[in-house]
Amino acid sequence: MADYSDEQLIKDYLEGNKQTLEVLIGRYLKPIYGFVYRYLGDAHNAEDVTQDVFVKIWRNLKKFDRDKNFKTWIFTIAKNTCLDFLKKKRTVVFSEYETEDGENYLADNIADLSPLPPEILERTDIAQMLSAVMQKLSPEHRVVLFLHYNDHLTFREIAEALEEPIHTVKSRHRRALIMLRKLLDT
Amino acid sequence: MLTNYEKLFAHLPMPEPPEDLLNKVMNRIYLERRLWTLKWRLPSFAIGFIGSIMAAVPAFQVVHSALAESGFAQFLSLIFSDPREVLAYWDSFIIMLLESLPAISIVVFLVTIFAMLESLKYAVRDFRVVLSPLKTN
Repeated sequence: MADYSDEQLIKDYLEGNKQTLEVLIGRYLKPIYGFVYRYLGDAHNAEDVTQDVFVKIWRNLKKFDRDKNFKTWIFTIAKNTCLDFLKKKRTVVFSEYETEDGENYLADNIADLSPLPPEILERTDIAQMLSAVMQKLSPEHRVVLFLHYNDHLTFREIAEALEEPIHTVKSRHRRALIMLRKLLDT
Repeated sequence: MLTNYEKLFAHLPMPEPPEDLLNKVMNRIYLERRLWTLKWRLPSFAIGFIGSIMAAVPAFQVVHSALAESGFAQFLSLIFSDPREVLAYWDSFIIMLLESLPAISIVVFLVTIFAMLESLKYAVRDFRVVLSPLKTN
C-alpha cells in the first residue's frame, strides 16, 4: 500500500478499505506539520492545527476532485486552517518591515536580487540564523519560500495551494528573497 | 542565483512531528466519525425503527381483520374437518386458499417488518461504532 498513488489510496478508502486512510495521512503528516509549524511559528499550536487539517481532509475526501492534484489540495486546506486559527486568536500578523498598506520598505529599497555571498552558506550557525530571519518575514512570504525550497512545490502548485494568481506568488517569492537577503546581510 | 537559495534552505531542518501525532490524528477522526454517527445516523435509524413498529401494529390489525373477512381461516380449517375432501381436491383447495388471502395487506405488513429489521440492523451497527474503543498503539 505504501507504493500506491494518492489517487489509488483515496479510491480504495472510498470503496471501504479504511486502512488506506492511515497510509495516506502518514504520507503527508510531516510535510503538513512542517507547513503549519512554519506558518504559525510554534510547535504546540502546530500539533493541534495539524490535527484539524487532517480531520478536514477526511471530512471532504468524498468531495475531492480526483482530476486535481491532491498535494496542492491538502496544502490549501492547511493554509486555510492556519488562517482560521490566527483569525480566532485575533492575531494581527504582520512583518515589522511592512506598513498597514502592505508597503515593504525593505524590499522596495533594494533594486536587484543578487546571489548570496558564499560566506553566508559557510557559517556554522546558518540554521539558527535562517530560522530567526524567517520569523521576521510575514507568513505569506515565509510560506512561499518554504513551499518552494523545502516542500519543492512549483510556483503553479503553490498558486493552486494558496488560491492566488501565479504572478502574485512569483512576485511574493522575489520580494521574500530580497528581504531575506537584506536580513542575512545585516 | 536560485541554486544559492536552494543550498541555503537545505540547512533549515524540517520540523519533526511528535511521534504520537499520527495516532492523535487517527483518534480524532475516529472520534469525529463517532460523533457524526451519534448525531445523525443513530437517531435516524432509531426513528426509522420506532416508526416501522408503529406502522407494523395497524398493518397487522388490517391483515388480521382482512383474513377474518376473507374466510381464509374457515377454508384452512377444512384441512382438519374434512381432510379427505381437501386431499381429493387439493389443487382447487390451494387456489381457493390463495385467492382468499388478503395479498396487499400482507405485503404492506411484511414491508413494515422488513423496515423494522433493517433499521434495527443499522442502529445496532452504528451503536457498535459509537462504543468501539479508540486506537491506543
